[in-house]
Amino acid sequence: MLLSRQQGFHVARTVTQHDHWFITRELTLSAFKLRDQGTLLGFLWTLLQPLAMLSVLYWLFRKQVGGTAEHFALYVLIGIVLWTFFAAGTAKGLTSLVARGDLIDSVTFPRELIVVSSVFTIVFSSVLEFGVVLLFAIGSGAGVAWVWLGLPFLLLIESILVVGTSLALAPLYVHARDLDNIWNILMRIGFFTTPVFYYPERFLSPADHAIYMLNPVTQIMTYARQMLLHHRLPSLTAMAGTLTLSLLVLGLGFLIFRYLAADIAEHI
Amino acid sequence: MMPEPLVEVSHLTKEFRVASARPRSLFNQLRRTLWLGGPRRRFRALSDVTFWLEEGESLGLVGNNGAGKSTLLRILSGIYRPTSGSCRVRGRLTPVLELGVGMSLDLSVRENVFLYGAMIGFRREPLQQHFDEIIAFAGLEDFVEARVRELSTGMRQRLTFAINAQLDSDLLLIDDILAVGDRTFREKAYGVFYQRRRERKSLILASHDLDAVGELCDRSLLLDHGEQRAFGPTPEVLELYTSGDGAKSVGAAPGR
Repeated sequence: MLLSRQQGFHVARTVTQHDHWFITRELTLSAFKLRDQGTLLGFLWTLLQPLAMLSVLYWLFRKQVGGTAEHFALYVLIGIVLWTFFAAGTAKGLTSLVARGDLIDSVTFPRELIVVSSVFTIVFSSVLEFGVVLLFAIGSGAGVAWVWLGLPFLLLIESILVVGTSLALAPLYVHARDLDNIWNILMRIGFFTTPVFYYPERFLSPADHAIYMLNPVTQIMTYARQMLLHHRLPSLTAMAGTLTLSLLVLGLGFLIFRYLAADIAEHI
Repeated sequence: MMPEPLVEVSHLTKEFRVASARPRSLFNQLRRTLWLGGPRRRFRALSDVTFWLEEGESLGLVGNNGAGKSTLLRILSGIYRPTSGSCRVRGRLTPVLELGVGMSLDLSVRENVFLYGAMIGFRREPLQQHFDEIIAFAGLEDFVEARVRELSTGMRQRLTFAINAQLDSDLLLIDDILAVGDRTFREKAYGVFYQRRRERKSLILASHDLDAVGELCDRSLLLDHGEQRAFGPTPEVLELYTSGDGAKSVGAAPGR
């Protein structure tokens, strides 16, 4: 029995036991089928964007930034894939509720699942993209190492971060329809203040670098590069810290969602 | 002691904020949050509504357009929150508020049965078990692999109704969806309602089809511009409604 009491009214209702996993699966699968008809060609299209960006960034910066660094192309590709995961995932999550306004006004399953399933389509394609990163690493002679087994854990942390951020953004977007523009600008700034294609430790003072490293996406990128480029397991304490931060974002996102989503059907 | 009613609504009021002409931008929202935007206009869609429904009984919701029937059904479903008052629903409810909505047009009928079924509360196995019945009820045997986009509006509505009709629930909420269907579809839909009535499963039916309300519903609630005009045995409420004398109220059933 769901019982919520707030000032002035009181609602009690036996909640239909929705199969949350079944709904999420169906919504994610259908979005995925719709986006690229579930075909290989569709997947190749999604790959084209990071590869095109890689070509441009590599070509522009291979001398000045890459310099003597080993595997600069792989370094940049890891950056692009992990950054795109965050930027594309949150952008998709942000518009998810408004995009499915038809559902919000007519069916009653938990609205969180709309956000989660739309983010999952990006999680799914990011995992596939990361598979390409691995192929690229092997192909470019960076070698294979057992620490790669830690990579799924990094993708999990980033997924938690993306879901948490999206849960906060999606209901805010219902109330403030210019949030997509604002978020777009923030993501542009984020692209340049995250080490996607440069080495921040080369020009930032230690104090500035410490602040720079507060960004959880930067932290995840750094761990992934340690694993893929240097075959080193990052500090477990540091990774636990990033996980905690992501879980905090998820918790906060969930609270914001719960607070704002209660009367969402009236504003969609 | 009398058993607890299936639905109990007491002094329910619902107000909506009237959307302002200003765009819903972050700046305007902040201004409003800080009370700099002046008073907001509010519209009262339901005012002090009180009724109940015993298990196994059915309720008719009648009243002209704009009376508040759909708002009431959305509050019962949990889509809207009441502004004040209380609303209790015991048991599982299936709201059928709009037909043909919520499907993905570019997916097949088969895929949509699973997608839509999941969203309205089906689990996977029962949905697989009922799949053939759903398709047969909707009359879409030859269209299982067709994209929903290729179906006519009527076919889409039949499909969503068929999925909802197969879901086992204690209370079915129907929002005037039968006005849209053709005769065959309406006969099938009424077949479902009469079947539920024989099984003593409850139904709340918002409809302009007063004959159907008269036949299906034990009690009725007459709303007029959000005000409760009458609640009581269906024949008395309908008589009041059709006589146009909505101002007088029918006494509540004895014992309450």
